[in-house]
Amino acid sequence: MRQAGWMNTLIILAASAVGVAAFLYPFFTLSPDQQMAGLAARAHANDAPLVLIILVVFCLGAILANLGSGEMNSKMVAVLGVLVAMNAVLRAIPGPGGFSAVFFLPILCGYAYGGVFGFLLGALSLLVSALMGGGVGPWLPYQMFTAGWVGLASAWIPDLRRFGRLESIVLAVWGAVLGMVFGAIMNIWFWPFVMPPAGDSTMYWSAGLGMRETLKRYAVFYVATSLWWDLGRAGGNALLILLFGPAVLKVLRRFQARFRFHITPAVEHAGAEPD
Amino acid sequence: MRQEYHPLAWLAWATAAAAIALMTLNPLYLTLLALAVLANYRVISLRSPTARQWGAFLKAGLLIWAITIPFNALMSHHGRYVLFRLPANWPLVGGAITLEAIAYGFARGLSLVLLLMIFATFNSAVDTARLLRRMPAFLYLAGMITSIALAFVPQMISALQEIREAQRVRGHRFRTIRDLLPLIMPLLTTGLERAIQLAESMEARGFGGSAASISRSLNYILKGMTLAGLLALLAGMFARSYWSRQAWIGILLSAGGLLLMTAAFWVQGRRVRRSRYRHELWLSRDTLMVACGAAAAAGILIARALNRAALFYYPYPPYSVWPAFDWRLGLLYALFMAPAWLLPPARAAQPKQLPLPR
Repeated sequence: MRQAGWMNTLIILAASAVGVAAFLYPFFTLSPDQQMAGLAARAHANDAPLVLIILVVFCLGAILANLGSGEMNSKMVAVLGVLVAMNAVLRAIPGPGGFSAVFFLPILCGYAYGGVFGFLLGALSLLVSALMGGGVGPWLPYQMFTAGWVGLASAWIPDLRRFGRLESIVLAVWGAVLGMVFGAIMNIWFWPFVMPPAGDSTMYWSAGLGMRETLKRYAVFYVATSLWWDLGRAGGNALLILLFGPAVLKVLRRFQARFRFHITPAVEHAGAEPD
Repeated sequence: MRQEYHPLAWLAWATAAAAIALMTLNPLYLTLLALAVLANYRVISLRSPTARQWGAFLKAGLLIWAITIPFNALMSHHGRYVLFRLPANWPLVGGAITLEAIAYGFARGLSLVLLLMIFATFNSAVDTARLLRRMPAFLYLAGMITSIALAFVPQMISALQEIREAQRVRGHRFRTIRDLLPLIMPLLTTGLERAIQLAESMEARGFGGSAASISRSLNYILKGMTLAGLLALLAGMFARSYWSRQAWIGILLSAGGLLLMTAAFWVQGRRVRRSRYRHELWLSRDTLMVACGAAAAAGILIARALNRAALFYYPYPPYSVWPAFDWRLGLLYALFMAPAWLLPPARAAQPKQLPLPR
């Protein structure tokens, strides 16, 4: 079991690395010798989104297929299903700006139940809410990945339960940070493609920019377009965690004890049958 | 709900159309494809209850398009065909307004709207529960969690209403966000209680019985294969961008990684045995629809492989603002209209038929 757990972690890390590379593609793809932005390079830039979507889908598949096979038992499946449903309902609650309650549960569950659980909760919540609202599209894999990372990253915070009030403050700050990061990452995937460039524009991506110039332009674009939206989301996360975090965490921990018991059959692989 | 096409047929159609839509900026081809998709959307929205909510979404897309064109025209002052000039001392917008900038904004906005339209059609035409049943076998756990969640959503909403009423009866008033706590906590607790009940009933019905049948060593091998595939993919992506002169190294590495992962998925999927309660019909028009989409996509891909510039469009100099047009390619784009063509005419207000289990 231990090793399987380690391999799951490695798979999630490797798939995330491919995902990050796919997200950050516009920042490093065109090396100097490609800079003579000829016809071929531009034509290549046109089908980049398609290739990247396929890669992201593959990585999501790898994570979802392998997390399942290891330590998933009926309790995990049931609890995930219920929490995903709850989260999809929470997502539908409207709020000002980019506010959305969809990250509240993944952050707390990632923190309380571990990164893998948080990842699945975040990613599947967006899948379910897209299926419910009919929002299936090429943006969905990116959203699932990013929301999964929010849950995954929440597990990096060490257990702070002895510190009382400090715990929810730390989590609220972390939730705000994650809210900002989510926005910044989600912009990247469409930034190079929505409205690239003509010559002297200083906000948009264009093929063959250096890394530094690209980052600078992205920063301008980000501040000009989505910063306020993301501030709303980050503030919402922090507020929700500050207000409801301690109580929800208490419930989650109480149930964790109830879900933890495990029945092992007396004979290992008793039910094994040759395929 | 009686549906006109198999969900997998729609999935194939939408994938082909979206892939083709993402591949060109040529406004003539984009317009043709948009008209073809629009025909499907009109036909589907007559029969689909969910099409209405997409109408608003599509209008938002059109609005973005309408903003994109003047925005691009005002911000970009390049090109040979100058329509008129704004005073040069106006910040940002001052300078020449060119035909090229308008054409570029038009094409970009159109490709975005087109993508929205394709998925509006797809989402209106396909029943999500039926789509979910088609989850590939290696993802069966994720699919199961998703179906549990979809089944629980209506329960959650009604539980939310019940709790709200109960709290109101006790005199609780919901004024500020802080007052939501007595709403959230019972929802969470009852939800988790239900999850425990569900887990118990799942175990009682033998869930997890077959999951043990995979041997531990095979499990490690599969995980190792996936991991190796992912690492090869990553290495391939880096190789592709840093040694762009020897592109084949990167492509080979990535393709090997994808193959390895596919093999692992296939083995993982093979040990899952599923039974179907309701068999879905795959009609001849499903085959025809998929064939049309596949033929169009393949034809366009071949045309592009033969002539790299066939789909290329970039209005600014040194390229031409006038898009190229080849009628043979145009016909291929029009093939995406197939779903609308192949359907029998809609009968007005037909009584609801329950699909019979076979």
